[in-house]
This record gives sequence, structure tokens and C-alpha cells, in this order.
Amino acid sequence: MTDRQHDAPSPRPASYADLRDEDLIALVQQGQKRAYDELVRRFKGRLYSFILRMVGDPVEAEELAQETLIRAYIHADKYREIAKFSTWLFTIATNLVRNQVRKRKRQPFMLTLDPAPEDDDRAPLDPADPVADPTRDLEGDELGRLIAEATRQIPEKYRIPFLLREVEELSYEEIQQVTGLKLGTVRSRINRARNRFRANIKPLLKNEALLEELERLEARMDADD
Amino acid sequence: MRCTKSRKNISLALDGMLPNEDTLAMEEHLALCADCRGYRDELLMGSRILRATAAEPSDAFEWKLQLKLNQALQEAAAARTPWEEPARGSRFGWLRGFGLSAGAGLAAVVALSLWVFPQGAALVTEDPIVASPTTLAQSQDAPATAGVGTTAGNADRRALSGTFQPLSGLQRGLGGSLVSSGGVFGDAASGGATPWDRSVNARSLSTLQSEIAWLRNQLRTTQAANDSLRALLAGQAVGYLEGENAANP
Repeated sequence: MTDRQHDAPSPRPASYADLRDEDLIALVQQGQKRAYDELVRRFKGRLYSFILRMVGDPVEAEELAQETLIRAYIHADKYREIAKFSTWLFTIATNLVRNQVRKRKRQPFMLTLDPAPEDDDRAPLDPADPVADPTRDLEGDELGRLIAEATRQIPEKYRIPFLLREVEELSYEEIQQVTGLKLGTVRSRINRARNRFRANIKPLLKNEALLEELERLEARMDADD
Repeated sequence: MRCTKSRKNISLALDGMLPNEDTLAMEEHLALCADCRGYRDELLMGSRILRATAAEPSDAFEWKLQLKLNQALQEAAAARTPWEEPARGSRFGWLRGFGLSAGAGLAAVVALSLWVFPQGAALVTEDPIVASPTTLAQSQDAPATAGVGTTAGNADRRALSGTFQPLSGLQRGLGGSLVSSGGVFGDAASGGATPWDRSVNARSLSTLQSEIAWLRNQLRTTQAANDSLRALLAGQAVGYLEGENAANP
């Protein structure tokens, strides 16, 4: 990336916002930093959200999202349009997340209060968990935290394809490219993760406050769009 | 269709991956099975919740990213530099460095010579204006109406007008002469010298004289260095030849 040709810029597009991700990364390859800014604007939230649901720690998630974007910039010249840019970017993110999870597992004396080891197959949340109380009022932030918790109880190997599908809306083929799994495995892991997540949030679904909160959040998302 | 099969198909159907014939069979089953309908609704609700609760990074995300990116680029550049230079090194790499140093020394001597003696040493060292400040006073008393180089009798004034202008290094190098580059200084001279100009010119003259003295000193030093370099080179060549001659008389 540092070798990019800054002395021979190509014509500037009228608006970066109108361009496809693949066109933007092509401009980054030609040295146009504003195209990179646009890519950052488009992907920072998606990456952060995806990584946060994988690692659970906001600071760590932000660092990994930044690292993903830095690697995308430095290695932009390695991107070829045989895959969508988002697929390439999430492949970088997924690899970083996997490395981070592996690193954590190698830290033998690290104490954690997290009750959910990676491959714990327990299904729903503990009944004593606040999620299980349908009469409880839920704040917006708290809802996010509970959902994050419910997500993190899905084993990592299921969670990655699940989030890539449910949140990032990648196709099965794209998830196959990102994870390196076979198509049948992608399909079955998504199905398993969905089932697990459904079981985890089932107590929440009886909560009227949650449904109201959900509608409020969706309305805000529509307004933002 | 059994519920187990139906539920697998529900997941695929949500992603648009279920073939048409299986979709029809699933829909038929759902029409009859309340549990599977409930299951599908919960899956749909799960998707909605996940998308609605996407977290946003902090406001500092972008500038932190910028900082880290700059740092990463600097590290990448620093990591590249050390192996690029020595990779080309060889057993005779020192010879290349020596040749470059010798060449640079010679080039410096030639440049200095041209700079100080552009058209012969007389222009600087024997110019009456530069050599003698009294000539300056005489010249300033003369009428300043004549242009540069209009008559042979104005030659001293032309020289003066050139001398009194502050010179940049580029002008010295390109003008060919310290004192007679009329093309650059002619306009200033034709306007006539004011008292302010005279004081500035006098200061410029003294600055120029001290600069010339410094340059002469530099030239002597460089010439001495050049002489020792030549002697060193000559000594090496002679030694080699002598050894060769001794071996092959």
C-alpha cells in the first residue's frame, strides 16, 4: 500500500457515496485516501458490531475492528475482484478474531466470571438470569447487553457463520469463502446457531418491554436509513 | 413432513436457500403445525433483535484508526529500509562508497572553482569596486541616470550595480559573474541609487567581501583534501604496479 502511486491519480468520482465497495477499493489501490475514508465509514459499525459479538469486550472489539481496517489499507493491493470486498474484509476480521480467541485460550491463569466456555452446550440462559424475568423493564443498552450475552453463549464455531448470515447478510457461498468451511457445514452450523440463539432469547420474547424496545430501535434504524 | 425436517427447512427458507418443491411441502406443514409456526416466528424475531441491537463504535474510533494507520505505515516503511540498502552490498561495496566520496569531493572542488572564479579570478579579486571601498564612494557620487552598459565610460557603474545587489547562490552560479551579470541587475541600476540603497549596498559589499574570504578558505581546505586524495589514489596504484613489477620483472 505504501507503494501506491500517489503521483498518478485517476479522475475523482462525483461522489464516493454512490460507488460500490469494489470501486472504492480500486480507488484506494490507486492512492485515493478519500475512497478509503468512505469504506471506513461504511464498515466500521458492521465490523465493530460483528467483532464485539465475537469477543464480548468493547475495547478489544474496537481495536480488532481498527486492525482489520488497517490491514485492509496496507494490503489493499492484494484484493482482487474475484470476491466481494465485504467478503474479503470479513475474512480478515474473522481471522483476527480467531487468533484473539486462541490467544485467550492459551492464557491459563486468566480468571473470568464469564460462565460460558466456548463449547458449552447448555441451551437456555440460567433461569436466575435477569433475562428470564419477563416482568423486568429493559433499557436500550441493557437489551443490547442481554442479546450480546445470549449470542456469546453460542459456541464460536457456530457463531461466526451465524452472525455473518444474520447480521451481515452474507450469502452461504460468501460465508464459505470467509470461513473456509464446506457449504453443507455452513448450512448446518447456521441452523444450529439459530436454534441455540432462539432458545437463549426465548424468555426475553415474553417481555412486553422488550418488544416495545425492539420496535423503537427498528423505527430509529429506519429513520437513519 | 416431520417437525425435525420442517425446522431445518425453515432455516434454509429464511435464507432463500430452499428449493421450491421443499418450500411448498414446508408451507403445508406449517399450516398444520402450530409448534413449527412458533419456531419460525421465534427465528424471525431473533434476526430482528440481532439487527436492531447492533452496537456502534465510540466517537474516537476514526481518529484512533488514523493514528494507528500512520504508525503502521511508518513501521512498514522503517522495516523496509534496512534490508533494501545492505541487500545490494558485496565484497567490494566499500569501493563503491570510496568512489562516490572521491567523486563528490572532486565535484565540490569544481563547483567551488566555478563559483569563485566564474570568468577568471580577476573579476573578483582584481575588480576595483570590490577591492576598494573608496571606488564605491566615487561611483555613488556620479549621476545615476545612465543605464547599465550604455557606454564604455559607465563600466564601473555597471560593475557597481551588480556588486551591490544581494546575491543568491543560484544567481551566483547561473549568472557567470559576481559583478557583471547585467541581465539580472540592470533594472535596479537604471532606477538610480537612493541613500537607503547606498547604505544597503555598503552592507552588502562588506558581507560579500567576508563571504569571499570564507570561500577562499574553503577552497584551500578542499584543494588540500583533494591533493591528499589524489596522493592516496596514486600511492595505491603505484604500490600495486610496483608489487606486480616485482613479481614479474
